[in-house]
Amino acid sequence: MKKMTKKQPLEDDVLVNFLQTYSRPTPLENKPCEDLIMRSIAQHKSNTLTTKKLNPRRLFWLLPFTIFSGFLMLSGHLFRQKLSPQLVSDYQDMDSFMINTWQESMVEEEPEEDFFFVNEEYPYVVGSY
Amino acid sequence: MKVLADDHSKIADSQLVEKCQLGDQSSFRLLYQRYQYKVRATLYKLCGSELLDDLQQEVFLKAWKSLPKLKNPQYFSTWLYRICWNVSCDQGLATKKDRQRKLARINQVKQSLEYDLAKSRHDSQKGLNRLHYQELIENALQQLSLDHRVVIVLHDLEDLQQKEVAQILSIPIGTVKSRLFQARKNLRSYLETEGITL
Repeated sequence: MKKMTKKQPLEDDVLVNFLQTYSRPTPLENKPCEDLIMRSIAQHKSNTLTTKKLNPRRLFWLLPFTIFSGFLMLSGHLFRQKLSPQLVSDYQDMDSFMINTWQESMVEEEPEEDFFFVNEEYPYVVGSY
Repeated sequence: MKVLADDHSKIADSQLVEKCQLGDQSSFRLLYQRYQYKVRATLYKLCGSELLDDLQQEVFLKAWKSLPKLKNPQYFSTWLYRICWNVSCDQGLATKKDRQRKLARINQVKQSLEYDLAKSRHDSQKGLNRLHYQELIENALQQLSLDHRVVIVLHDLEDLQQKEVAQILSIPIGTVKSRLFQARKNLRSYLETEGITL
């Protein structure tokens, strides 16, 4: 074991030296990698800018629209609030109307009123016999 | 022009990274120029030459996109090597292309052999030996598993410390040591079967 620990670093050094001396050199670039990378980066940057940060010119147009739509929403909300009590009073009117008409429809009538005599309605038919 | 280059070399990585995080592309160009050879060499030894240009671009693009998330700019190189490793792993998973890669490698070796043979006629024996060793080392590295290969590449060929290798691969330093031991043992035994005793 002692022998191994002494021998190992020397063997390792020889191996590493052999690897470093005879490793194949890295091949040269076939494409203009630097330009391609920088171009891709510029493209990526512009993409992130358009998605994340707002252009001041865009902001200039966006701001009035936002204010106008906000105003519209607010006025709509207020208008609706104004309308809602009127609706309630309508409901109350309708309710009282329903009660009144319902009661009238429930008044019992004499059953005889539904009958009629043939003579009264069609006297000429009876006389012909 | 030389003065400019000297000035650039004085700027620390961390300063350049901070500028990049603010969106400075020229700083990233400097970082690229500083690290392109290391990244390319590492990728070449891990993945071969077939898609080297594309992989190199992928590494730097990923770096640019992820730079805002880098909290410690002083560890930029370690972080960049980690991206290299991740890209190599993804590439390693694409096993379908292995055959094409091997064929391309054989062709490349053939071409370089022919080129070098023609070039070194006067010193043919020496040149042939060198080519033979280069091919042997390449084959020896390729027969290692990716986990063992990356340790050899980063520690023995790129001269990184074991601690750095552990940080790049997100593994304990003890694992780095054991992988290094095993990988070297495998390399030695492969070279011995090819008639080279070290």
